[in-house]
Amino acid sequence: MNKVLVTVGTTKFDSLIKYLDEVAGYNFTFQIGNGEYTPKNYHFFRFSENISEYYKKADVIISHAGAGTLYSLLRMHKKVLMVPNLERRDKHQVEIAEYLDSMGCAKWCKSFDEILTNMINISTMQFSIYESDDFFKFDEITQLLI
Amino acid sequence: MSKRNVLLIYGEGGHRAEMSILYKNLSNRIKNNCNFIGLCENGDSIPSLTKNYNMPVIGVKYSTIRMYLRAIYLPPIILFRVWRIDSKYNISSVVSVGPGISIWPSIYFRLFKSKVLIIFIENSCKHKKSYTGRIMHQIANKFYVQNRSLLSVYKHAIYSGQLL
Repeated sequence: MNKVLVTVGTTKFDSLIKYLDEVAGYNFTFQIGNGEYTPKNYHFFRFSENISEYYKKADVIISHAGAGTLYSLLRMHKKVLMVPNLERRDKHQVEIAEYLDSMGCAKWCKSFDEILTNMINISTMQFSIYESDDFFKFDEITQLLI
Repeated sequence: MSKRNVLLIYGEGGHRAEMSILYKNLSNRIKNNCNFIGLCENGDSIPSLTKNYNMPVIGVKYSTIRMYLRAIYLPPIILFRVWRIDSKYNISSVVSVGPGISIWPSIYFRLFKSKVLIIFIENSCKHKKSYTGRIMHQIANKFYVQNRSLLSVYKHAIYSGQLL
């Protein structure tokens, strides 16, 4: 059975955690951040300094659409289902989910039900490799500042 | 020679993560030449900075009515706070990684201290023109983008690669 990590970053995304906690038949591990809802049916933790170890061990990651988390996962060539956190008042997570989905690098789930639909097909899904450059303007900015 | 004081403006979450990486790399190169003063939102500060100040958020995190009210009464408060910080540190440069709280401090320096260098790095999650980016593109001396897709959107944008 696929190991599935559900990760919500540094804030909270209780509706997602609660929804998935009530779905039986998966091997979920939840990273719940500052969430108030604590899962009853699967293992969970709030934060980890070794979150990349959890990323490595997971076959599939269901993630909020935070830039830091997504870019880290895509550089590790992970299969990622993105769920923008609409509990936040600012909706900027939709923008990055829309973009990465259009590039074929990760799958944007527009509803919680879509997560489960995608989970059924996840083993056959093909994802594009995310290509990016590391930041290379440190020296230039340094010169500007001194 | 006295150290130059650089104001770093960042938000929470991904903004903070980006600024942490930027600060670490800049301070490794020029810690003997510069002090770094932070301006952040919601108290989510980077502890290793010389000093951190919290800045109230006007924007989208509040309901519409509350946001409009804040847009009226907060700018003078923000400008006053920036003036106090500038009076204390004599800021020489501003570096921002994209949050909306960058706008008013940058306007302050553009209006009252035009020699201050303003560097804006659009957040890596942005792939379209943003409200903050649109304004900061007019104000900043250097405007960097972390995604190539924005090069065609902002006339003076410089591609920088990604911090995260």
